[in-house]
Amino acid sequence: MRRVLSKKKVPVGFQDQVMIESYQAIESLIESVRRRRRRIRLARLALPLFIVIAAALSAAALLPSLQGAARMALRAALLCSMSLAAMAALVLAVVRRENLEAAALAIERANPWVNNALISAIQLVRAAAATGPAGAFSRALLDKHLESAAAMLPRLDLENSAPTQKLKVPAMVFSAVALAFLAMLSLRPERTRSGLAALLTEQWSMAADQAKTASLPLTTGDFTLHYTFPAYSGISAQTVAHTNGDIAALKGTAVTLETTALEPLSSASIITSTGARYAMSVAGGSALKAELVLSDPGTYYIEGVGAGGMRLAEPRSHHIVVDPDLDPLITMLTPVQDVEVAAEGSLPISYEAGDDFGLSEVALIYQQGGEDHKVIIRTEKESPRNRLQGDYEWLISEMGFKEGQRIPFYLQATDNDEVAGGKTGKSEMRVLEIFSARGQHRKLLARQDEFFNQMIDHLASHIGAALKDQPAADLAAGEKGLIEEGHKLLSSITDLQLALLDDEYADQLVLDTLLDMARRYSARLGEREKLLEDPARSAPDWAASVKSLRATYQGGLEKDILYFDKLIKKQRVEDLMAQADDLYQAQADLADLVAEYKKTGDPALLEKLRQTMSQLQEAFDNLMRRMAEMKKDLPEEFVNADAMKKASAMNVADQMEKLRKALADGDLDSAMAMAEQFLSQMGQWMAGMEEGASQFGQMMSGEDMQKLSEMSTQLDDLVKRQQEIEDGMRDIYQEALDRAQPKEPDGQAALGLDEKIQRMNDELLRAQSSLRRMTPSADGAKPTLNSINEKRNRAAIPYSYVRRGLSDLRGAMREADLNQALEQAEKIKEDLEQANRDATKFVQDENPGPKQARDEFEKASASSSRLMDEIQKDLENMDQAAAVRPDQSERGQLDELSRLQEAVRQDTQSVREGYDQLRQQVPSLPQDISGSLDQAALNMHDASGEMMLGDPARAQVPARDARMNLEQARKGLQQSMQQMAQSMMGSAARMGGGMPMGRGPGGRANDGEGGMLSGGKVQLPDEGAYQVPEQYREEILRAMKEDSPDAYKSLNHDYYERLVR
Amino acid sequence: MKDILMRATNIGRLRYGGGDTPVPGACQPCGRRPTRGSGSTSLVRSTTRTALLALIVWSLALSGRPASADEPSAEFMRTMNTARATLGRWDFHEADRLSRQLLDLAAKDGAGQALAKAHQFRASYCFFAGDYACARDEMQTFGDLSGSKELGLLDRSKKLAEVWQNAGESRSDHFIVRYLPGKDSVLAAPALETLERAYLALTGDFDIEPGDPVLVEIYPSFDAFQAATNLSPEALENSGTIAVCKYRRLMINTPRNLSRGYSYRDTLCHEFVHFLVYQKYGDGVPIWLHEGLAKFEEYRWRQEGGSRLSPGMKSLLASAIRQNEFITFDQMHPSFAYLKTPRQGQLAFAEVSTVVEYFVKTGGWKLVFALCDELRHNSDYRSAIRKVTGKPFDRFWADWVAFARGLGFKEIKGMEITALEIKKGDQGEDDDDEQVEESDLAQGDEWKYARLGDLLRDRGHFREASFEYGRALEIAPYSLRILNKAGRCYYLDQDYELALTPLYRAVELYPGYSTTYINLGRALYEMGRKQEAAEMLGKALDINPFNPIPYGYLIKIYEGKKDDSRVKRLEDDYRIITG
Repeated sequence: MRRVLSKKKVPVGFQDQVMIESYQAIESLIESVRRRRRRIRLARLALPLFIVIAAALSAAALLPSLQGAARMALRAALLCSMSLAAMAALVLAVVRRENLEAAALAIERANPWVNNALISAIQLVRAAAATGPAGAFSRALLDKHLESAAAMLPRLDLENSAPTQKLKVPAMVFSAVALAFLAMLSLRPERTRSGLAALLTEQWSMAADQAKTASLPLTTGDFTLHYTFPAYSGISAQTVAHTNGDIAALKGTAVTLETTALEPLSSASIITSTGARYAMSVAGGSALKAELVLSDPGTYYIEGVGAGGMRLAEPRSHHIVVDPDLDPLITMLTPVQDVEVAAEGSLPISYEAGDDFGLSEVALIYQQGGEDHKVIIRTEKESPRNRLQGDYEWLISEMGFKEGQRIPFYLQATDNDEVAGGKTGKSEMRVLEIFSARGQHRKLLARQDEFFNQMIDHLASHIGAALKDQPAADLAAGEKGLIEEGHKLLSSITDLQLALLDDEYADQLVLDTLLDMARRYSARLGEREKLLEDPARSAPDWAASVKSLRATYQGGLEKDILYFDKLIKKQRVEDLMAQADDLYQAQADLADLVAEYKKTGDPALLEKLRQTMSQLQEAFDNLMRRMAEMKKDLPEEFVNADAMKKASAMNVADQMEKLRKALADGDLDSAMAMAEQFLSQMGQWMAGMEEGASQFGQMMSGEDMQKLSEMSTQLDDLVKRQQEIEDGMRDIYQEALDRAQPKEPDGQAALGLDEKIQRMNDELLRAQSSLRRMTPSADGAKPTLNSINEKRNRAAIPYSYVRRGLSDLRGAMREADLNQALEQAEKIKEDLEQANRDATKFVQDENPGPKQARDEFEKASASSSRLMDEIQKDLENMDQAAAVRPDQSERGQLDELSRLQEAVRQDTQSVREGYDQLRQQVPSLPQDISGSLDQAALNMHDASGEMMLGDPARAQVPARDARMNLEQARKGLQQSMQQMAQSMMGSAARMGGGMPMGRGPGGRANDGEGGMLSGGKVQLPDEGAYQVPEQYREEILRAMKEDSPDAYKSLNHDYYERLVR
Repeated sequence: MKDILMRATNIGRLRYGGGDTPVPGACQPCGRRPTRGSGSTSLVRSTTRTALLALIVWSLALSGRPASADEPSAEFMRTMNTARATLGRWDFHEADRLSRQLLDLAAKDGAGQALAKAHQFRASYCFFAGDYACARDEMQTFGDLSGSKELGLLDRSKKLAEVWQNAGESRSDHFIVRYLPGKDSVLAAPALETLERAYLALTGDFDIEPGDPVLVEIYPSFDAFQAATNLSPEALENSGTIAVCKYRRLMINTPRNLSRGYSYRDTLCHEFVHFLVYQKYGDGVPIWLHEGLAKFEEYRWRQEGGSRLSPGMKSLLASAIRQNEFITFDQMHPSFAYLKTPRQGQLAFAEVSTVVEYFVKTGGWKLVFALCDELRHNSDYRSAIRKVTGKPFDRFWADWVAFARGLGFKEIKGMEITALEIKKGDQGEDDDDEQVEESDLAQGDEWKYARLGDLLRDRGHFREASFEYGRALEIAPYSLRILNKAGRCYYLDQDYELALTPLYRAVELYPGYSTTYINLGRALYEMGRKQEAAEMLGKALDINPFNPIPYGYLIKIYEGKKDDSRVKRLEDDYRIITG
């Protein structure tokens, strides 16, 4: 990298660019040589260091062969040599740093022809920068010198300035030593590793070795080792004979060692490298035996007392290798990442754990309140297994976690190590976030806000367009833009609906409103689109039509905005009131405690009292905090209501402090008085707040609610009147029917019928005949002749029964007994259907031939069925014709009923119009009530017409349908009223809050009718009324049948899928 | 929420008198007829008369009985009666002297009861004179001596002594304005200016001088005002009383106590009229005439004289004339505060003000004074009117109706009866108009359009919002709030010219609403019509000097005019109200 002379370093007079560049070139070159020389020097220092280290490590392989002082001396020598070499290299590397001048001189030594030009250049430049006499020389001279020196640079021999020759020998030596070390490592790995371990980790103790050195050598041989492994390991005891005495086993293993000493001994012991001594039994002076339990790795040797008390010791130690028991491993298979679970839900966890010897326990550890909590989810102490896999259902609902809490957790496996104690392994940590339905609801409230803004922007676009006086072309373009915007709004409705389906606290009114909006906007946008595509656009009234449709659309949008505005306010207030749940609870608890204390005087209650006071204060503070957060979102009139204002005036903290002080001072009377006063104050405040909130629960004005109630009453009346019409008509019909008894069929009709019976009889004969002609098929399953005949006959016989029935029918007709004829016809039809079914099955199963017979059978059976239908219909017609013949008086009654029916129809239409008007104000009122009323009116019209024609039989069906439509409308209306009443009842109850009834002095009795219309027949919602998705599902299913935009269809589809699931 | 608004209107709530004198009947500002037509104080006055009668009977009974060791002497009682009457006449110098004399007499008699009563009277005197610490101490002495536990005056004195502990006072030649140091100090100078101007005009009109400087107290809270006037909180809340002339002083609420202030300068003048009428005619003038005079003269401090009814009142009167449905003088008795609705209150004021105007126009002030003089001796206002006008009452009434009809007042359908709003908590006057509330939406479609306008405006769609406000105004062209909403929306849309139309209409129809002046002032300022802007913003400050918005504009305007002294004054006031 080229070093650039910075402007700051340029001496006085170095403004000349040529001078600067010349000097920079010289300095750069010298600097590069200096760096190279430095690298070479460092390598020269490092190589001897590496040589020493490699040699020392190689020499360490000798250590296992040495004992005592020699061993320690070698260790010390090796470690010292390595340390000294390292220190020397470090010192030399730091001390012998070469400056720029030295580098220049080195270059000049390799290039004598330069004549000190480089060193002069450096020194002159430095002098030029100095003040005083040193710098008093010509800049021109310096310029010239630098220029000439720079010109020499390309010719310089730099290789000799920093020669690498000197590295050759050290590198070769290092290579040789390193190769030697590697060879040793590969040839005698154990020894080398042992030596290295001894060099680096062995303790600096000579006790055992000194002792050994003070003894005569003991010769042992033919070691037999009996291993008894720890019970938890499950490994069977093993015996290894003819070993060299090295021991290797699991920690805690009991080893019985047997060997034979050549020298006779009176006693013997095992001495370990840790200094432990194990006495050996000596049998026959040479058979030695001892037991030791493995705990630490190291070495041991045997020493004994020989003849004459001479101490003998093995000159060479035996190795003790202790195999460790590994930590268990555990993996959390599910969940695979952090999860969110509802407070009342559960979390399935699956895991897999393993250990080298066995697992005793799997536990779930979670952290809460800064502490770890353990839940044992599996124990295997009785029969530990090396590998475990399992599932666990963590019941979050039982843990008492609060919404919004984040709980870190992991799994922990413990092994069955009884020696060192159970070792544990941990899985990865996950975080469980307790799902907050309330939090979710708030997010969706924010989404509703966004949607609301979109509605307002959409309205602004319409008003903006209306304010412009546009020519037709612009009008069309503007209209297109508005329609596109409308579709986006529609899409947002869809998205919001879907999102709200996951909202536990979603307001049904919002869902209903959105559903209704989606329907209406879809239809109206469709109309507008149709008009936009109208080929007769140039027609003068086109613009007027566009504007008219726009105005209608805009009117609906405005109403929806006002209603949605109200809905959002309502939900905001409900949300706040839900926050007051804890406060209600704490207040009620405090009231109970005060009452109990007053009754019992039990001092044990005082501590509870203090705790409840803290809870109450915390709940109040939380509520206040929430109110402060929501202040901008809450309706202004709610925030400014007296009750809300009084919150700060109550100074809860101050009052609680006084109460605590009174309790601490033992002034219990004052404390109770204060508590009661406070509760009363708090109760009033909360009641006031609830009252303020209740007005936002009223999604209908009292006047509108009254109208709804009146409509319900009107519908009651209409159903009653319709029922009366129906009853009246039935009476007339019955009378006419009775008068017509016994029924006599019309002669002409009877002749026609007889002919049809005859034709049917012929067809039946033809069917029977064709069946009997059938033979086994050539490609069939080759049944025996007998078997097919049997089946064929069985298929044909029922037609004889049918023909006999026809004969009976003829008889009834001859006797003019129409009722009996009808019954007989019914029976014949059943028999015929059965006969056809059986015969067809035979044909299909057996596939008999010939084809002609099959075809003929099919035609005959179809024809007979058709004729049977005709006969039955004719009979019914004859029956009706015979039955309904109202006389003059009955005709008069029918006329009267017809007029009554018409009056009921008009009243029904009137109710429908009123309802439609109301729906414009309250879009969440269901549309299908209008549909039911419409249908009822249509049916009434039909019924009325039939009555006018004097046909009570035909009038009965539409009249009955009309009543059913009315009943359906009435039911829908009552459900709506219940829903509205529910919203008026105060949101707190639905949100899980609500003032506890009759709980202490601060409580407020709730009669359940707050906000209701006085005298209105509004029923309280029953249990089923809260199962809103049922109705909603019906709405969506119905909507699916109607033409709707794609986005809406997908909504329906998606929702339907969910329902089905 | 409308239910927190006081029902009476700005002027309609003005009230004088009260009924709490420690010596019944001793300090009523006016009216004497116990049976009819003597206004807010008449109820008390009847009680007063009964009490006085009882007192005299009791005194006579005492004088006829041998005095026990602990009972006051007859001389003491006579002096006490004289002292009470003196105090009732607002002759404070004499009352002071007599109270000392009573103390001496009681000491000389050595009667414990007498000493207690002497201290009680002394306390009353101190309370009347506005020395609440003295009143408190004297009442405590009275309580100690008498053992009485009924010490209402003690509680009131204690409270007021605490309220006024560090009171500030500003003086002029004829008035002393007492206020709480701090924000209310900005009221002192305008109050004194108003009162001196009123003094100049009204003392001439009524030909009477008050004598010693008149104490004016500006109450920092309704609570303190209630303690001072001894009106029950319910009465204050229901009647909307914000100012009272009583105990020879004027007591008003600071405009700070109301959300948007009130015309406190006119109110001071109104109360000063009550003061002069009472001082001149005692308690003989009935309520209808008292209020008529006060209403007729309440703008006197700023103009030559004559009634200046608001368009709302004119409309109400026009409507009443058309339907021949008036509030009778008897219905006005005993107090305007007891009228059931703000509408009735405003109509009553419109009636009595024009009655006075009728008197002045037909017979001059001479006729008015003659009537007042007659009423001092004649408790029947009907016969008094017949006597001074020569017309039977029915004829007089018919003539007045004809006169009022001749004034040409127009009935404006849809005019709102506005009411002043008591401020809750730290709520301040918003430069914004009020939000449309749920209760409004039920009133009619105009509020639905207004709400849509608000929603559009709040999201920056000003033109579109104006469109909705326009639709609202088509339905309710005289709605104060919608007019302001429309004006402000045009202002936000920087269409200042269009903003002027609804705002000028709002000013014309509802001259007591400070927010309109601010909106108008800002629009005019932006249009460069700074002189007019200054005028409007000044009017806003006359109603609510605690709204900081006008100050900024006015300072800029007067800086432009190099009017340094006014700039400094505005800056000082601004610092005080925002401090």
